[in-house]
Amino acid sequence: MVEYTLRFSERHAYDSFTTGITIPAVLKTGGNKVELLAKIDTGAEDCLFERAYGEALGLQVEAGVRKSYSTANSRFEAYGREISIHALGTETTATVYFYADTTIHRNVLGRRGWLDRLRFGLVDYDQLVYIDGYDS
Amino acid sequence: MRNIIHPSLLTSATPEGRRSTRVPRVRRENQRRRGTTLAALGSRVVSPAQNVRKRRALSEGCPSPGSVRRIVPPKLDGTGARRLEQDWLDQHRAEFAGAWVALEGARLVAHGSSARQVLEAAKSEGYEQPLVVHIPSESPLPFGGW
Repeated sequence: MVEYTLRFSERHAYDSFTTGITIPAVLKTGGNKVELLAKIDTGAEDCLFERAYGEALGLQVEAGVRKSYSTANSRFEAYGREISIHALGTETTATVYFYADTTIHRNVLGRRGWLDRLRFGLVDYDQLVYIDGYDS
Repeated sequence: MRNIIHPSLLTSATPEGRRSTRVPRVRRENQRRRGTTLAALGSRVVSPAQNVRKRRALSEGCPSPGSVRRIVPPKLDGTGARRLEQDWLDQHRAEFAGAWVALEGARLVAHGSSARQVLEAAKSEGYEQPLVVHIPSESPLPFGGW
């Protein structure tokens, strides 16, 4: 039997009673920063945040690159801006997206810009996330 | 059979009906029996070499994976995990439904109608990096994924 082993430098215990796997994350751009709670989402193509956080960072959200997303039964629009994400001891810089619709209140750390920069382990039974930089 | 949990190991809700934030006894037992964490198990890292092309396509237009930088490790409990803030949110969800709040530990630093407003109010009070959260007006339904 082949065994696979991964090593991680960080471990985070998350609250299993919160919807989704929720972790604190700090968004930074141009000297501004805001800390929020985001859900780790392997099904999300990009990192997506509430529009209000973009505005809190002083961004003109709609000046970003517009992108359309599909969901299971609908679609939505978002605008991309390059910012830094600090979460669980790592920092990545990537284009993240802010919802055009102010009524969407869901922050997700998705694949591009976050998961694709990391090694990521999850043991939901123990409510533990393991994480390290991809090249660490 | 390994997956069957003896009833004596199951935990129940707290008497007040509030959800317990403690790790259920069955999980503690499981952790104790296993002894070692996944991170401590070995030293080999298997490189997904066959996925290089796929990863390259995925990362097109984005900074390379090498752009990840390690920063100060978070604490497992306390401010790094924002545990106190999440507890506060559990307890005050109904009271501040529909509002934005800025929290530092178990302290409500500011609340208002926008993230920018509460962040600026918190900064004016000397809180440089509070946790800023929107509390939904209604209890969220279970999320079904995108």
